[in-house]
Amino acid sequence: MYNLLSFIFRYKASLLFVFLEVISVFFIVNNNDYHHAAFVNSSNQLVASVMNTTNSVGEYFTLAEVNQQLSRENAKLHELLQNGLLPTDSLLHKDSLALEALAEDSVSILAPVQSRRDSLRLKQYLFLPAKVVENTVKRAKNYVTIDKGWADGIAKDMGVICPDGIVGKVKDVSEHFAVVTSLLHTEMFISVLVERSNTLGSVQWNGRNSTIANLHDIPIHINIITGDTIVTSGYSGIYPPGTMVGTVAEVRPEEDAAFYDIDVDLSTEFQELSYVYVVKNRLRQEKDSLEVINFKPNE
Amino acid sequence: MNSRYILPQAINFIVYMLLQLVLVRNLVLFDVSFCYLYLGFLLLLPIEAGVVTCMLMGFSVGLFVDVFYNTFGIHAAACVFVMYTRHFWIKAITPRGGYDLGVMPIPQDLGMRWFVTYAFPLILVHHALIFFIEIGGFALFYYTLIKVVASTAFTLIMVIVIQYILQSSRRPVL
Repeated sequence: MYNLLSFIFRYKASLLFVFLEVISVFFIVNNNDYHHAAFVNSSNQLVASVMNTTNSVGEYFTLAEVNQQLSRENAKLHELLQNGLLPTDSLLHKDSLALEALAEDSVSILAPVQSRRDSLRLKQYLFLPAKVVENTVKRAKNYVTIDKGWADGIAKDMGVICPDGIVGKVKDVSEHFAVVTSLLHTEMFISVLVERSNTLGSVQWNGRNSTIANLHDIPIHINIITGDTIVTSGYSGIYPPGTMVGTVAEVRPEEDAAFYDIDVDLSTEFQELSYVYVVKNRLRQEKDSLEVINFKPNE
Repeated sequence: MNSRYILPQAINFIVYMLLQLVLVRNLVLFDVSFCYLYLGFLLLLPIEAGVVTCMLMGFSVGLFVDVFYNTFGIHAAACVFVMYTRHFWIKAITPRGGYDLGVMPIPQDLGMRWFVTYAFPLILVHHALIFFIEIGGFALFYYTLIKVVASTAFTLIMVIVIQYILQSSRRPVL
């Protein structure tokens, strides 16, 4: 016992060193898996208010850009309204073909069910506006902090978009703030479609330039050209399908590879992010629980 | 650590943290040069401070900064490592005749050459750890290396400048 104590005392510095490093590594490794870890990141009330205060000075300098962005969005929405082409309408139109076919056979039985379902579909996605409190673009793993939390109905894993395109996914929520994993995060994958050919791929940021991301998994037999529009697939239920991600900037066919190496010019200007929308998918839970049932491994 | 160090160190802590978290948090020069000024506080702890105290300080300061940077654990790991090596590094670069009692690791006490020899490798190691852990390996190795070197230079200059400002403002009082 004496030997043990004298050993610990003699090497207390090294032992403490190893101990603290192990704790730190544990924190690093678990950082992404913490649930309700709102106290250890910038969704923390105190931390976020400090950021809010210090960044409010800079806010005035971006007001002109914010105004322009809002008026652009207004114009776009006006146009859609005039032409009777609200995005939800066109979406509804797409996926109600099957419903129509179904309805022709069994109007009397299905009508009430269908109409209720339709109205839910029409409002499947709710958009909650939020202000960006803190945003970084130059680290390898960037996060956005917004000023809405669970008190406003924000929950983990909701999508976040802005008028120009997609922004990221909610990572942690506190009462009045939330941390969003930005698309500019090297471990963030987003399921996308090449709009022209409906090819499924995934977009991942490469860690360098905040305007460019990589598009993976597009097989070389697909015809893809510079300028092709990349939109979200909506398969994950996080982002509404068809949300703009960017346009193809460069296509590099790799030799002896089955997939292209593609650069995407991101449509979101992350440098100037100021107001965003958090996407609440009202059918998400239903979809997820259905998939869990179906994908359960056989025992 | 002697109790007479506590008040000046507490003031130092507040000043460096305010500067780090309010002023230079999002300051990035040329897209690659970050400033982790708070490291100055840890480097300027008294020479006679025990390695255990230093490591515990490093750990808590690191975690505190991590909360603001959304990098829970990275700064803590780097700071603990730096504080552990600092102990041996200070011994290794002892000037002829040893350290006088109560001497601080600052340019005014030990000379600019000693200070740069002392601070540069420690800042370099700290930044290398931070950037390579953040990106999670050696992907983008050269780009990250540029980040490390550029940020080290930036931090070192800022630490020296801030140290001079703090010291000169304090001198009449002491």
